[in-house]
Amino acid sequence: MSNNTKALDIRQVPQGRLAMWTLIAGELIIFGGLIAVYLLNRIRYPEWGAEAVHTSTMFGAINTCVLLLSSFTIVLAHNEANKNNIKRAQLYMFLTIVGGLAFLCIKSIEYSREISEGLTFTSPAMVAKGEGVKSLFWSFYYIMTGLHALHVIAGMTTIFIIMMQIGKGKNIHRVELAGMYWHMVDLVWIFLFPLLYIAK
Amino acid sequence: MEHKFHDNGSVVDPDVKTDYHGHPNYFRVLIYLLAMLGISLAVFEFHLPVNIAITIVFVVAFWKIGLVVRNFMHLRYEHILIWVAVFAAVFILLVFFLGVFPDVPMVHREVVPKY
Amino acid sequence: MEHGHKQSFASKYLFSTDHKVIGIQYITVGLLMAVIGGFLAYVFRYNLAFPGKDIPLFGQLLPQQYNTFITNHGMIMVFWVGMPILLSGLGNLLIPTMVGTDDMAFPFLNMLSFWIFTLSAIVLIAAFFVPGGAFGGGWTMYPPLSAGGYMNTSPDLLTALFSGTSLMILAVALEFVAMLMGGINFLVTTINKRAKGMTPWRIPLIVWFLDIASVIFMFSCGPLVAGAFMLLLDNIVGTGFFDASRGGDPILWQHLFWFFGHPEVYVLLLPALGVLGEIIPVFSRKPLFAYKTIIYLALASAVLSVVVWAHHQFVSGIDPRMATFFSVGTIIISIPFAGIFLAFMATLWGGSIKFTVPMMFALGFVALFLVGGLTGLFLGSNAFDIYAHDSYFVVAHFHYTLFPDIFFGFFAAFYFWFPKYLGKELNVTLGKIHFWLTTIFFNSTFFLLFFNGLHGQHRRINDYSFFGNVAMEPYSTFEKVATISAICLILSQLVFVLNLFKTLSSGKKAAKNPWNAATLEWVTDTPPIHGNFETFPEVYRGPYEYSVPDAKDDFIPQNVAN
Repeated sequence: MSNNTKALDIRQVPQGRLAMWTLIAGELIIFGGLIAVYLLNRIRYPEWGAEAVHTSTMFGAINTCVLLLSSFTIVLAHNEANKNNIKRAQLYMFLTIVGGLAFLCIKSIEYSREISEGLTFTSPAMVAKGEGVKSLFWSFYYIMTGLHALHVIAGMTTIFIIMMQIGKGKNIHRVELAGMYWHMVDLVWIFLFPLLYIAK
Repeated sequence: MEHKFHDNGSVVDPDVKTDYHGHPNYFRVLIYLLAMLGISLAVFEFHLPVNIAITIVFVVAFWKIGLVVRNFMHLRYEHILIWVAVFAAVFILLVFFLGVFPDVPMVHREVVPKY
Repeated sequence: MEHGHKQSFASKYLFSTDHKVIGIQYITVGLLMAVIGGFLAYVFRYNLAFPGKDIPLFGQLLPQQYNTFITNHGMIMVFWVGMPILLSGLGNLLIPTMVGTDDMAFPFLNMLSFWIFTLSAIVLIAAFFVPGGAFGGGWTMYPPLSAGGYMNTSPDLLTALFSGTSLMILAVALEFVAMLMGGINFLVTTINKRAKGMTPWRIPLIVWFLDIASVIFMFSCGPLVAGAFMLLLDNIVGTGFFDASRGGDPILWQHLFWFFGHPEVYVLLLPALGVLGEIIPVFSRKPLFAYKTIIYLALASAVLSVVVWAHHQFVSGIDPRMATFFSVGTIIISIPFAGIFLAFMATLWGGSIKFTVPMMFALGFVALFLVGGLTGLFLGSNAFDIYAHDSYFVVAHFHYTLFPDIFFGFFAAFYFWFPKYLGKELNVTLGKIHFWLTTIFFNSTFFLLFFNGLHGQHRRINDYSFFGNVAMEPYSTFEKVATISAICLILSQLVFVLNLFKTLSSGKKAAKNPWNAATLEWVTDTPPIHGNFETFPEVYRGPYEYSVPDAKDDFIPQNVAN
């Protein structure tokens, strides 16, 4: 199957998919640039490990699980949309949005715990607490997870709009495109999870 | 009024409703993904030596990414040009990382202010 | 010519989704920004030659304003003149017509791209009018000057957001969004909407080059987008990603910036080379020499363009071993471009050359770019660069590359395609006068600055009367010559404006194919109708079939079957 389709004419790839892949490649470089910058700093300062201890692996793992499940539901939505089962496709899309909301809720609980511990965006709080630590770990933590959360919101909005549209019978092929975007958001999180929550 | 449609050489209509690629068993992929998540958590729980743990965790992460891209995003059914685009993105990030590497992590700590 | 429904003025000229209108909009905004950029150049050049004097049309220039002006001159000329005119403007006009289709793949996205671009231009100009003025730390926005430490700082978030620094970062980010949208459109259109028979090796060179430029742009700007986000937060909420006093690393910003900033040079260069690739065969009446090789060379240069960036940082304290690597990379990348230029020369060889206005600009480009390219080799090797860094030698070098690139490239394209897309014949005499004035004054502006630079004049000093040892004769005379020539250079563009308006108001209607060119855009009506082609063309041959023996004319258009 896969050998056979790789010989297909590039013009058989629908325009939307082509554009989506281009967008995803671009997005990967934006996120990748941020992650590369973090990695470079992380290797330079091994002592950031002491601060990464404050991130909650449990919350991170639950969130990974939530995103993986929502990726699964959106791919099922695409599958159903292909078979023209609009109602079921909409149900799966709705579940995906619920997954996204759950992700954001867990994330905000996590943020509020960290902020109440004094671990903020600018993180001079650590200095105030007399620990003498002044590192950018928390700045990176918030900028990476925050940028990711913005993408989650964008993905949810897109999925919601398309869920409404396919209800009217329009743009059924776009379910797949919104799904691809959502998977990209998932991918970024899969990489952020070990980076921020496990490597301590 | 007359509209010109996309019969200008595009093999398919851009608003095509069925897709041209196959569908893997999504549920099996999900099970693999969750199992991988389990592995990375186990590595964290058992306090393996740091280097080994980090290696395992990142190998697992890349494997998971591969599973999602290949199956959920259907890259395995995709045209070679799209593979090229995705790998070019990764390659360019690698170039950036290696090019900057000597100037950030390898800087001698004496010249870096100590905190 | 059937317009389906009557379009209102706004939907026809402002919020049009027609690629031709959007292309013209991009070029118009680009030219308006060029007027602003040119005015800034005039003000600070005048101040350099006659420090302390009142500047006509402006008044006194304060030192901080001088910084602001050079910063914004660089920013505007690269991102708001070069990018919209060469990449978006030409790309929008040419790609759909040259690959033989009705419009871009995503016309609405295309319109959105233009309006986001316009918004970014407004944001950039608005920065001049906020308290504290526009950003003045150099167009590269190096921290700590840009990281909230020293300029336009404010403790309060809202004021910090509307400071010159933040607005400039925002404007750049918006511009990137616009160009990314445009780039996706270009790629999808070329890949997916080609005419029947338009195989990859029958696509005209400029379409290839515009697409390669879009790819380079898309793949190199990512880290800078992330970096701009971080720099913005450094400014408005007080993180310290790039501020050493807050635990960050300013060198990292330089890497992020130049990782994009150097490939950007090729993003600007490739479309202009594509223009040459279209014009030179037409006016030599010969097929383009080594068409496939040129494309392979351009692809090679695209790959190499991401391994040269740190040659901008030789004096910033980067690892010396890497400096060697980047020196070698920089010198290697001149090989593909030398190859491309040699192929153009070989196209001229033995051709029956016609010195029309576009051809003169194309050849002027080649001649002037040679000077810029060769001095680039000097600067690429780090031993010399450490001496010449930040001097007028560098200034002269990059004006010798970018001025021919942006302006000669644009003017060549303008004189070549104007009759097609606006349907009027330009005045040839005025065009030739424009060419000669531009060439002469451009050279007299920048050539002498090489010597000023070698003598040690630094580019960011607003008043050399304080530095007697580098401002002695003849260098202060050179400054004056450069300034007067720069003013003449700007004034000679009035010939172009005159020609443009004269033609628009009373030009003769242009023929369908005035230059006897073979690519697809010359097959349609002049100007092309909405939707470009009455019936979609089918392509049977490559784009450069000139001087074909036994042909009816001496060329065969792409859509003619055997």
